[in-house]
Amino acid sequence: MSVLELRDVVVRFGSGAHATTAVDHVDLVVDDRSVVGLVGESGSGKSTLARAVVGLAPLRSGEVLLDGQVIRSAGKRQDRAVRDRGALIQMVFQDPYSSLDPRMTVGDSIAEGIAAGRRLRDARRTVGGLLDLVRLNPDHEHLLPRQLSGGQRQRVALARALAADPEVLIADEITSALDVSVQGAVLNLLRDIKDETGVSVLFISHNLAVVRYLADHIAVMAGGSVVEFGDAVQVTEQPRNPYTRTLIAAVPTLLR
Amino acid sequence: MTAGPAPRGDRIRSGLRGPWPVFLGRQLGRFAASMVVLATAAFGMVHAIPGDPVRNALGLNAQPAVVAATRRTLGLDDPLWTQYARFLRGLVTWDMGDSLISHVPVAQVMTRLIPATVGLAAAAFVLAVVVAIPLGLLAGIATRDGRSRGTHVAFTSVTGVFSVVPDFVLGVGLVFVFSVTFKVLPVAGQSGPESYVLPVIALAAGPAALLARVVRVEAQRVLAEDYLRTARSKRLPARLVYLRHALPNLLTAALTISGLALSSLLAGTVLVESVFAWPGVGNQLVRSVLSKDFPVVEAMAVFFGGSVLLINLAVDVLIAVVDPRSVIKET
Amino acid sequence: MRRSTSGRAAVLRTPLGISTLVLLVAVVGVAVVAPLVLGSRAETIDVAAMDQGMSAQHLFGTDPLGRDLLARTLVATRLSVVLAVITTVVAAVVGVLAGALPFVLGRRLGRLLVATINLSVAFPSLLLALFLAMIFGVGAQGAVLTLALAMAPGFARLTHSTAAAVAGSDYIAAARLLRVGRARIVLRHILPNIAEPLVVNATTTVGTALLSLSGLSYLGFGVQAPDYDWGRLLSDGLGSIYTTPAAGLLPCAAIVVAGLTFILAGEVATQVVSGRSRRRGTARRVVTAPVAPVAEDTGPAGDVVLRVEDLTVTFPDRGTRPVRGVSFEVRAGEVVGVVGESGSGKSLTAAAVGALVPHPGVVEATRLDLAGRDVRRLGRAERDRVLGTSLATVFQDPMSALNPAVRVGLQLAEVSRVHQGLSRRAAAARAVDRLAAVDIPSPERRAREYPGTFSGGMRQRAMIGMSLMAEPSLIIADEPTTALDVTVQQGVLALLRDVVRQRNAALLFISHDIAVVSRIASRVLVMYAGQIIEELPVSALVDDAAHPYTRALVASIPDMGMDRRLPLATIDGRPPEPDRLPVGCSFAPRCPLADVGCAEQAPPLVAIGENRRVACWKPPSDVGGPRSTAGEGGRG
Repeated sequence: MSVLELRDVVVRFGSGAHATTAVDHVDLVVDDRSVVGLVGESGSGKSTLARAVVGLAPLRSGEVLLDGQVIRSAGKRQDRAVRDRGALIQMVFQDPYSSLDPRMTVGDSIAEGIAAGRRLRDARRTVGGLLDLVRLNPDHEHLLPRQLSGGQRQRVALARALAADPEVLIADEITSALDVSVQGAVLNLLRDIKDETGVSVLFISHNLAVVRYLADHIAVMAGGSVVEFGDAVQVTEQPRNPYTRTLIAAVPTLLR
Repeated sequence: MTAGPAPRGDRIRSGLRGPWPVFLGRQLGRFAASMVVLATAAFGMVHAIPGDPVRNALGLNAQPAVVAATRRTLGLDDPLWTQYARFLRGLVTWDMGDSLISHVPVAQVMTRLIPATVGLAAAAFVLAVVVAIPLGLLAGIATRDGRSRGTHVAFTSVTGVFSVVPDFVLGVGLVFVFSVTFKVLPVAGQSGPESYVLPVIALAAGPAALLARVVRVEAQRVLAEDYLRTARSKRLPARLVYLRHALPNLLTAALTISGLALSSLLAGTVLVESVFAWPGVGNQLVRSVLSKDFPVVEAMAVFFGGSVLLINLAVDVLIAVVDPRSVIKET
Repeated sequence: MRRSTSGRAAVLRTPLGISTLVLLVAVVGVAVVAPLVLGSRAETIDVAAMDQGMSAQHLFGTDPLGRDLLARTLVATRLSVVLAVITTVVAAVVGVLAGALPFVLGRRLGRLLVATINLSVAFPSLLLALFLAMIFGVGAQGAVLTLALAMAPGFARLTHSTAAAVAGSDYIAAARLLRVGRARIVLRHILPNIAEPLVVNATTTVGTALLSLSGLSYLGFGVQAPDYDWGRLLSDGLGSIYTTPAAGLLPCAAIVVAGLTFILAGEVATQVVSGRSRRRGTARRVVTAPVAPVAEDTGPAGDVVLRVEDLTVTFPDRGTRPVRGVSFEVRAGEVVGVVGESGSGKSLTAAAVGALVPHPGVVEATRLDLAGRDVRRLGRAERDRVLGTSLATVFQDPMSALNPAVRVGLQLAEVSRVHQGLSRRAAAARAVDRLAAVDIPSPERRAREYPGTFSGGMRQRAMIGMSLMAEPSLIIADEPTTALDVTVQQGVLALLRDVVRQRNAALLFISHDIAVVSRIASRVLVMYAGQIIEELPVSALVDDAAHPYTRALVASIPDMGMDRRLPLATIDGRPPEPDRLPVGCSFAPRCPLADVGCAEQAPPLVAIGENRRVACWKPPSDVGGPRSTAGEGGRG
């Protein structure tokens, strides 16, 4: 049982008159083996929220809990064991061209994840097994990122994150840098992986149609706050918040 | 959205209200602080000289009594902070004691030498800027998007050589050609306007070549920007495309490099003045350092360092004038 | 990998690479050999041969003590180069440590150190070295030390800025999330990624150090007699420049050659590292594909705003042809969508119409008519006028398409000033009017502002306003909504729709997003690998597409109405590289229907109904009504 819980999370940048509140008192729960879609436009705070959850952006207040245990809270540096538990939340970034070390082979990158998994919870995964999991040819182990296409790189990034055997995977706009014909394959893959490994997913996207395809629950963010949260079908078919309605109306769908 | 707070555009206002006073205040404050650091470093330099600086300067054969007397005159026996305060006060009141060697007041030495050096550097700077910026811009236009390989190769090799050849070597070469072989220009010394020609060229060539290279690269960058494609899509005449749309966008880089060029020009005066026996600060600096005449060297350190800081300040302010966005970034 | 290694080796085969290598070998060779062979000749005092000019005995003459000048200059190579290398090594070590220190120190101290480094970089190193000489004294040792300290800030700043850039990258963030240790992050991720710029910088620095050390020696701060480097020789020889010029000129030449060698080596190292040497003379032969005939002469020619026939765009330098025989037309008041993935040639097609193909691309077409005039046959001035008034382009990224240094109003007004001869005042008034027409609030004020104060959506409105300055008959919009938020996208699409309706202009709307295209276009051109592979009315897009690629594209896009339980349709593989096009149908390698025939011969684009064309050997038989037989004829 692993639940990711955000309680009253606030992230601010700057100080004094120049301070901006990127995330404004957000509460959110990602249940075990579920996918929560986080949707919003640029500046809504969705990516900052993701970075705050994994510790890449500082919390001004509030806390992040994994299975009821606080792993991150404002102003307090947690002890080492707790911080190590933080590695059970992994993240895949938007731009596959900058999220892989250009001088490390695919195998070496994934091995860093495997080492983390072994250290933290005695997980025993292999590079070959992980490449297989993300549907990449095992020969790719010895290639450098620049020899791969955008879609392939994103699969490697996914494999590296999964290598740590995480409880929760945060996917931040992982298809927005990819071509249309590649996007679908990565989304299908993420769905298959969720079914195969049981990892919970916080899936962030600006595209409501993409979120709807993957998520069990959807949170809509605007201006740093979650303005609507609910079952995916309910949010997309009977939105209660006017902003959600605007967003749904704006999604470009094929004219049938 | 992952980035920090972006400056809100609506705060941008040109004119002297808004961010300008804050910007200028901050710049001046930074300059003042740097000057204090600089003066402290110059003061510290003398006290970091191993052994007794006076004995060092007067030589091992100097009479102990003379050394002691000189120490007393210079106040070297006072507590350190008294000396420091006196040094700072001296800088402000333009009274920095006497030279150890010539016993002439340092202020008088500086007053005599500074105009020669500033004149040389200013002439060289103007020449460099006037030649380099149009040259770089034209070369950038000619070689945009990988056009005209020939021009590219010729431009980069010629400017490359000139940016590498050190000013003093160029000076020697110029003397050999124009003074020794053809005997059309004076070998050395500051006499009439013709005495400026060779040292100014020797000083200006390197910085000009560097500046021209940077301007060309910047011009190529700007010419590849989306907004230049927009300008071309509007089918504007070339004059408008380059002067209205391209030039303002490469001024920031050109100004920054011009500032660096001026600083390196100032340093170049040391060698070039030495080659041409120019009666300036640089030439004297060499002699004063070699003779360990530290009161003079201290003053020169403040002069050269202060000039560099002043150039930086001027560049920052000028950039802010041509590109108001940088004011916002600073505040 | 293959491409980049051969690119790296290729750098060394360029004229620059070869000459640098030769120079480097020569300088190092002389430094090693000259003292052994010429040592005695350079140092033996010969009273009988003082201050001689050139002779067979002494090629460049002798110095006041009768020593051979050439031999002395060559022997001095070793000391000059060795001192420069030592200086660089010391400067690099001190600088790298100082540049790395801020990451270890606390926030306050770190910032102070960075500020100090940035400040000291502003001071020319030669000047710093002179003042440091007060402390460290004169002589070779003092000169090396002072110059190294004076050059260290440069290394420190480079180390700090590149390390900071690397440390802020996503891959470091990913490593931190994996709880990779600090030491390992530095060793495995940061160091390898900053090593290259540091090595390149060090190579160049050897050259600069050599020049500066010569300067210091020349001034009397460096090498002291009886030792000699080039600077020392120069300072000794300068006095006799009237009698034996070689005494001064030889060391000058040596300094320049050696300095240039190391600085060139730095340049070559930069190119090797970035692997961006131009591979010349390796242009591949352009793959020629069968040219698709125009479907038929549809409709009256009178209202055709744009007619393109057999358009190709070729890049001779790369040997690629990213647009291969494209033919289509656009009529007044019509919105035609062009859909394709990146690399499909859709944007280049638009660029070719607007004569904006980047150098050295070559545009060819049998016909390129805009508003009834064949643009290719017009003189330059007339072409600019026609393109400037009849055609307007709205680009993808409004953040970069407007000039940040020019007021928005002027950017609009200049169109009318140049092409319509309006006065400054009239053009400015028209600009305000057009800004108002695209719903920009308080247009008078906005016209006086710089684009920096506009939001993304507002900028794109301003771009559309700009396109309306001269009542164009065709507007090309190249991914105009891709960079915008969905809610903003809506508004911009609506605005474009209004513009077309109100002004009877035609719109060529280019996008990778088939859903967006379906919202605005009436007819769609689907592009793949540089060709139009299907043309169809938007109403046929969802259920009636003929080409397997179009069908797959439609099915692969997540849609608000699709069944969430089914996986998304996907297209295996990826589009062909423009320099490796298959012989037959370019989609065949990814096509589920492809057979041997498809891979052997490319299908022509044939009409299969009104406003419908497809390039496929195997389109479903139930598409677009009765099939034309033209498609069968071409197959051998």
